[in-house]
Amino acid sequence: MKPMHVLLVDDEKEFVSTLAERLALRGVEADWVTSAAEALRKIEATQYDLAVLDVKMPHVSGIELKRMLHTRCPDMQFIFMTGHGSEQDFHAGSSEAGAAYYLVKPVHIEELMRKMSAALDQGQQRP
Amino acid sequence: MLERFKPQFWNDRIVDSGPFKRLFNFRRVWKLAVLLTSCVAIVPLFVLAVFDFNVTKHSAETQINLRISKLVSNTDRTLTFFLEERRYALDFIVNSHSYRQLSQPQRLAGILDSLKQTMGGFVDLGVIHASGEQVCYVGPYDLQGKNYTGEAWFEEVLERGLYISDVFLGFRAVPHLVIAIKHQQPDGSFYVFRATLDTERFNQVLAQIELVGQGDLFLINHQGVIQTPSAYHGEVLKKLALDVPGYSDQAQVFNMENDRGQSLLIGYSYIKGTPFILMNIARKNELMRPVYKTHLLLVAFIAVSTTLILLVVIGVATRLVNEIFIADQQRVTTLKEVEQSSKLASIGRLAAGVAHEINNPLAIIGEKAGLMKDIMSLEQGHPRQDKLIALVDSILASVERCGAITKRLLGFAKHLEVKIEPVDLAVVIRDVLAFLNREASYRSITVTADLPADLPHFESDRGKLQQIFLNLVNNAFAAMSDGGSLEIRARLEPDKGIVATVKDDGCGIPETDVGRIFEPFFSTKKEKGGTGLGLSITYGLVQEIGGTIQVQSELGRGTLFTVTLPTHRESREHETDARITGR
Amino acid sequence: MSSMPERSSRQELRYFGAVTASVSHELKNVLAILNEHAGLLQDFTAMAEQGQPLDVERIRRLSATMLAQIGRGGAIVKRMNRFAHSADQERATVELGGLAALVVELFGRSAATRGVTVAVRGAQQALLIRTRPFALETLLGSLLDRLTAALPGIGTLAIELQSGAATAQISVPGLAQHAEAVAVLLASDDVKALLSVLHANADFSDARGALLITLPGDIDA
Repeated sequence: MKPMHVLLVDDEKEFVSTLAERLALRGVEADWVTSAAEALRKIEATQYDLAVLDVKMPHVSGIELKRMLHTRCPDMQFIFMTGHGSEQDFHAGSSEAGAAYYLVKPVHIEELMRKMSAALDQGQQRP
Repeated sequence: MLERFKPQFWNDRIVDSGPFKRLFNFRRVWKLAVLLTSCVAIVPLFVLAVFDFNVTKHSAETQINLRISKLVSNTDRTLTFFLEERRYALDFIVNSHSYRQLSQPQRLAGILDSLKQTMGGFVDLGVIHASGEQVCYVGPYDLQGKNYTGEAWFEEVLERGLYISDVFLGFRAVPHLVIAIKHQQPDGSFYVFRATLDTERFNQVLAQIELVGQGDLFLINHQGVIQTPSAYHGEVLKKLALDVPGYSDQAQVFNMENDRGQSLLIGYSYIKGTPFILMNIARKNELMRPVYKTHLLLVAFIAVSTTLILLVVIGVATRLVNEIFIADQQRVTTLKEVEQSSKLASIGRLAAGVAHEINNPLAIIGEKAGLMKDIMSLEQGHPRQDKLIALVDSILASVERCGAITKRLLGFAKHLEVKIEPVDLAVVIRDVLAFLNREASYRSITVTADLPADLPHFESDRGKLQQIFLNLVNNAFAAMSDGGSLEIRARLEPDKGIVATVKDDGCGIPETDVGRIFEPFFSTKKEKGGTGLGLSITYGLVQEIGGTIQVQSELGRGTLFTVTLPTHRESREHETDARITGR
Repeated sequence: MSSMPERSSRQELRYFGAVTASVSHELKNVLAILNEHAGLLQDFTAMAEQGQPLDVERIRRLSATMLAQIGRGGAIVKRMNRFAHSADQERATVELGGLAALVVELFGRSAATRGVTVAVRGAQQALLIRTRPFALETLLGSLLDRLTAALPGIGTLAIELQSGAATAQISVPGLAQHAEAVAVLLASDDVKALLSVLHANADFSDARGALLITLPGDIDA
């Protein structure tokens, strides 16, 4: 497992905090926030390899946040999480978001880990 | 039996409000169409027919009169000629014989014979001296030596030079008449030459005239005594039952009624120089018979035409109105279909929304359980109890949260059937708002609900109420931009019932559109297809539960919908109708 | 008297209600299990506070079960979502196999209660038809419901899909001895209304002992 520093963004606190804890148990350094505003503040202080974003959030959606983060951190990789029913919204808005990874909640932690690895690998291949 | 012929639209109930109102009152349209078309087709026909009747009748009458007039004139001429012939015969005789010759009985007898053989009809001849004495007579009567001085006829012949008598019963009781002329001698004296004629030839002349239509051609004298045989009007020498027509120097035709009420056409002519009046009496009906026959044909034709016209008009009108009715029904059916499917779609979205909500708490439980598993796997032997307790508590809380959502889903499922029950409006509105909570929070829309606790429960259809407020709130959400605010209030107003208002500060509705906002297919949503049915459906639903809905709006400032709901349900006509139309 | 489309709509709503209710119950079951497990865990931790040692293995297994239930819940919600969205468009082109599979899945709980297994056997390629998706789901769901209710000992039901010339055929074989029950089913006004709005025909084939439903390849054609 490559060492990685990831940022989790989801408005559901109980969910995202526990997920962070589980990732930590698996050797992934994970910080979590519950809003886009907090995320933007966080990246100023810390360098992250990858961000896991919930698609449906109040005020600023996951996709919008991704664009904002990407502008600030071009090297950052992204994985999206969606709930059943939001898949359409995700596909509708993501065409310009680039080749994206997404998972459906409830999330299988092993699957998440695999996708995070793959994303980072891909990131490193880019010149 | 008549039922078979009743067209489909006849029994159509009138639905005259709501999005499903009929476009026409079909029975009335049909009646109007049939009435107008029939009138326009039949009335001119009748007018023409009546006109034609009158014209032909008048024309026929004129013609008949003319014919009779001509007949009478011609007959007059013929008779006049006949009499003149005899008179000229006498003239010839007195001019070609001397008085002395004529006074000789043998000579006179010889002349009489010649006359009998040639002209025929002469019965006797007589020569009368100026003194009045019949100096010579040949014939069947014993009139030799008779003196006529003072007799009317003698006076007349002396004065006028000619005398024609009217018919009298003569020798052997056969009708005769007398012609007498006065012959002026060169020496200034005169004598009278007289002949009696039997009327046989005379009558023959009349008999030979072709008559039309039971006409009766005969002569009367100026006193009305019948002179020649009449077919219907009496015997010779009897008085005619009718009045003697007034003098005219031309043939005349006139109308009169006999004592049996029959209409007679009488043509007459005063034969000049004679005591005779020629009469032609005909029954008008007989004469007009061909015209009446034509009229009858015309009447029959009109009857048939009118029947045909009526049949065609009724047939076509029925067919057309039926087609319109079917098309209108199709329209209503289509509207209903669209409404149903739109309803289903909106319900689908609701259900999906609810289901979607479950994702998050499930995800939480997933993580918590997962973490627990991780801890058990990794921290062998001394797992932190407090940690475990916290995890389990969290799981239980999330399970409860899911439970609430699931319960709501179930409740929602139950309300899909129509039911009348006591309803707490506040609960219905809060349920609706709960459905849209998430969206409100995502879009930072402030929702204020002013629903007093003492709002009375009332009998209504919960499902419909839910749909109404759902539609209104959805509309408000669509009109508002993020960060807007929505106010829902409900109040009991003693005379009106419960008044609920839904107020948003969204884009508003332009003044020109406000009046039309409840029309089906009217939509001000510019983006992705709204069907434009939402508000018209809402309107219909409000009507169905016996309420009213109004809108006030200002472009750019917001919109206010006011729904008034009766607290007492009365059975109403349009609700019954609504049930019949199947909503 | 209501018209066919109105009757069909009412039936569709009823079906929607029935499915939603069923899904709610399924979810409640899942949650119940989770509740029990969590409750049990609570008991264990309470016991641990009293000094009892924690049975780590037991807790691990409980967690595993709970995760399984979570997965099940997720699947249920996914199904519900698909179903709810199938009402979005009145007419659409759908893949018949997928649609039939969804209906069968949604029927799963009722099937289990009645001791029946339902399987979908379809054409190899995707069978696309343009139809009224929700009405078709209602028809299939209603048929499954009524057949299994009328024929309690039936054991298994298969739904076979075939494509024809501009048509698609759904057949339910193995009903040779139940011709009468099928006849009663096909005579129901609700079923007739659904068939009518779908422009479909339903028949019982004595030769094949099967209920046959023929759908037009394009409902608008």
